Amino acid sequence: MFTKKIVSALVLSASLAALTLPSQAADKGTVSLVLGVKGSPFYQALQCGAMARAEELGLDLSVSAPDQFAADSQIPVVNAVTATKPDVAAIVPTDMQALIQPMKELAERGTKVLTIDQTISDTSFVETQVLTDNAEGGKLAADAMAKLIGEKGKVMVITQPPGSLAQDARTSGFEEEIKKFPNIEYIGPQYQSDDPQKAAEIVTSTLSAHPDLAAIFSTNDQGAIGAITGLRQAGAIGKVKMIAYDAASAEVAALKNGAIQALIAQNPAAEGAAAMDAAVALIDGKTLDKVTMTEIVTITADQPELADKYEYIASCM
Amino acid sequence: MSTSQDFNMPQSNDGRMLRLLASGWIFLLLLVLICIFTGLRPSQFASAYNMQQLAINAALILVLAAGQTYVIIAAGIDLSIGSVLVFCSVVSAQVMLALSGDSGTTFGTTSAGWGVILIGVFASIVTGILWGLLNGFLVSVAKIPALIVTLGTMGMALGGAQILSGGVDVRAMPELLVTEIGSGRLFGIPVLVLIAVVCVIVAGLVLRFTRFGLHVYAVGSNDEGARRSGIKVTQRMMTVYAISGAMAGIAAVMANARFATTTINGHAMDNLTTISAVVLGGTSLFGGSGGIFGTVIGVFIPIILLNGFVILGIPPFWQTVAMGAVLILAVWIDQLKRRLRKRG
Amino acid sequence: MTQPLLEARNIRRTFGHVQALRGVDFKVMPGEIVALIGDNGAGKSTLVKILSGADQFDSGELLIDGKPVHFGSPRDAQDAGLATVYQDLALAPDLPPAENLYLGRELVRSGLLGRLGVLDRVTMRERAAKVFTELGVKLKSQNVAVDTLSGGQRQSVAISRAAMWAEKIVFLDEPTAALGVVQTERVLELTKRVRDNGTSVVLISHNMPQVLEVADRVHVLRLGQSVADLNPKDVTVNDLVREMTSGTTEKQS
Repeated sequence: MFTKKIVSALVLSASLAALTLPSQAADKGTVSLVLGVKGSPFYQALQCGAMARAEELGLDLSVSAPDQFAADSQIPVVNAVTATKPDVAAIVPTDMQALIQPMKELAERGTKVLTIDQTISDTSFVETQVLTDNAEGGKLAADAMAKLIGEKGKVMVITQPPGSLAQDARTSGFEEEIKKFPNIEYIGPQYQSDDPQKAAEIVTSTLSAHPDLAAIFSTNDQGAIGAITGLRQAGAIGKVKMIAYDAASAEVAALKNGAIQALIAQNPAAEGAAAMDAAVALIDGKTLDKVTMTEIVTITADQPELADKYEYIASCM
Repeated sequence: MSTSQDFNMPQSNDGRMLRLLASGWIFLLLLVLICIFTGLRPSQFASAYNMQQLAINAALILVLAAGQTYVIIAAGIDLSIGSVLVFCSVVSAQVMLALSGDSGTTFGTTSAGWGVILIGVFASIVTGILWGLLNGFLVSVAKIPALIVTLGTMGMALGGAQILSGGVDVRAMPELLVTEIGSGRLFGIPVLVLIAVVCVIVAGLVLRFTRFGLHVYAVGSNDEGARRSGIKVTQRMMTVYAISGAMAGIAAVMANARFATTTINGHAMDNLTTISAVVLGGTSLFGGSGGIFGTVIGVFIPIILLNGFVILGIPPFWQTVAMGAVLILAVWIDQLKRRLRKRG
Repeated sequence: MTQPLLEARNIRRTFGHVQALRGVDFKVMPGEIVALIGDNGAGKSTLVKILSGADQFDSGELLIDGKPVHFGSPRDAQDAGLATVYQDLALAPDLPPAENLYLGRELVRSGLLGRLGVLDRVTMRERAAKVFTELGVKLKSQNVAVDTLSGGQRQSVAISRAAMWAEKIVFLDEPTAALGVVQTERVLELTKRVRDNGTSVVLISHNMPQVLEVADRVHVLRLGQSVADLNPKDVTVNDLVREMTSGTTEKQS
């Protein structure tokens, strides 16, 4: 009796779930978008951009994402997408090597594969890579920083442990560019893994060692949020200039209230849209360049309207 | 039909009811899920390709969860398995890289032969066992609560892996390991799945039919009683954690083979994934009861949910919600089970 | 006079400044139920722990069949033919009765399977059933966890286990403390059966009428000393209570 009830409840909820499925209006073709992780504002903004453009283009888009930004979490999702045999799959690969095999299988089973935001080390079967130039972003950060501190003083980078192509490229781009300013002393990178608490600790302890620290560059939003917390704790907001990658809502707010002096923003919605454009081109049988670059901008504190425009907001949710 | 009537079932039905509640209902849930997804998307969900992928995705977690089942039946808990897996995978990868002589290439595949791979496997399992023994020692000899011990070793193993590797994944794996084990097949079955099946069957048989298995239940049921009965409780606990560590070592080899790289930033949720699989499978978190068969089903539930939801195109967050609900349902049923039993 | 199965002479045990036992003399004869009584803190539990190998004495002498022995662990006591049923039941509640009877002494299959440690459940169940029949213990099922049995049945399983493995003496620590009237009767019945099957019983109890009902001899401890050794036929509950609380020690008198 009891079990029967459970079963019927399950059947009921499952059929309810089935009712809420997106309508199958596959005019132009089916596209699957696999994001890097659930619940990230950046990827949600990307998803919104993709959904809006897919609607315009008449694509049947379905979006999925793993629980963590990690290969072991993402591969099952990619496998499931493979089983649905979409015409095109746009994937944010969470690891440049581990995703090769599952994505290759996807391509071998007739789906056109493109990467978005991140990429993998074997691109032989990838139609195109929708990317931003992360090294260029790092350079922009270094230039903005030099300007803010009058081209002199001690500076540091807060980034993720080595291994993420995008983060590494931002760091190395920054390091390359900062060398051009002889009066700036670069004291090296510190690592945190998407952990604001850790980033705050890094900032406070670095300030103990280098009270004359002039500026910090964080290569992602979690690091920036933590770094601001650390600066506030140390009473060094504004005294230490803060340059941060991305334009998450918290970062935009910090830019407006003076805790951050400059943001290096990508345009995730445009990336999502670009991926859909690429998908249509692929469905139409066109060949694409190996790389499709999307824009990247520097936003300073005196440009609040620009910050609003680029803020990573999931407008469609 | 009211709930109170359900509770007042005649005594004679209790046995059947209990067995059904024990792990039967979760098996039923699995079947229902499979039926629903098959019904809605027969050509996609039920395709041979998808079934195979499901099995491959389950393989690694199955091995880990088998170890976790031992620990939880012994009334312990192992939060460290994911990190131990990462540590073992780094040790194993570095050993194989060093032996293959292709030093310098930290990217791509190496030409190492089976000998080197065998040493890598051995290194991985031994490393896992050592972590397990450390856990077991701290829990059963130093008497520190298992939750704290394994939380500690979870951090230590992950930190250790980052120290060994400098935080950079070792990306040079033997080509043979990746092609023959990672994506290879034997008799048409993926090798990863075969490894998992062997591990699970051996673990299940040992637990069910041997003296050691019975002692694991006894220790989890009443460790002081087991001690007074002459069971070497300390030694048994050490062995149980060592088994969990060894399983993490095996899973590490499987991960290296499958991903063709170490995955230092992954496996953060493996501990909770396996614990919820074990609990879903009807093993009590208080120890003393449960089994491997239930765990196998518990492993497949979230994997099938995720797969089905992606195939159906249900927004990603719903999978998380559904999984949470199923877990609570599982524990609630465990409570019901206990209440029914107590009433007897 | 027959030789005692077990004899403890002038046992002393000190915990820090507390003298738990200050020269206890205690013996168990073959085929008898000895009740060991005393107020809280009289030293009953300490004495039983020492006799069952769970604790060691500071000075004194312990003899089994007239020969001095030393128990370094419960295992030593078990090997000497003694078994203890503790108040908090040393059963594994999640395991069935037969597995509990054989806990720590499991039977394995013969041959290779046995060397791999594969259990012989069939034989264990058969023999367990036989033991329960002999001792008059009725269980509703052999296949359910003992947790699902009533308190009295669990206690019966625990006592059966002790009786099964102890060749000489079973110690029962408050076996009926948590039981109802009917279940208490059954456990006392079982206690007598154990004695009648040739195993002596040391019964620790606070229940004086019960002690007078089943015991063949009553040994009274007070403040860590033996104060009386009585024949239950000659005494009343009041006599026992007086000995436990205010009785003068033999040595003082």
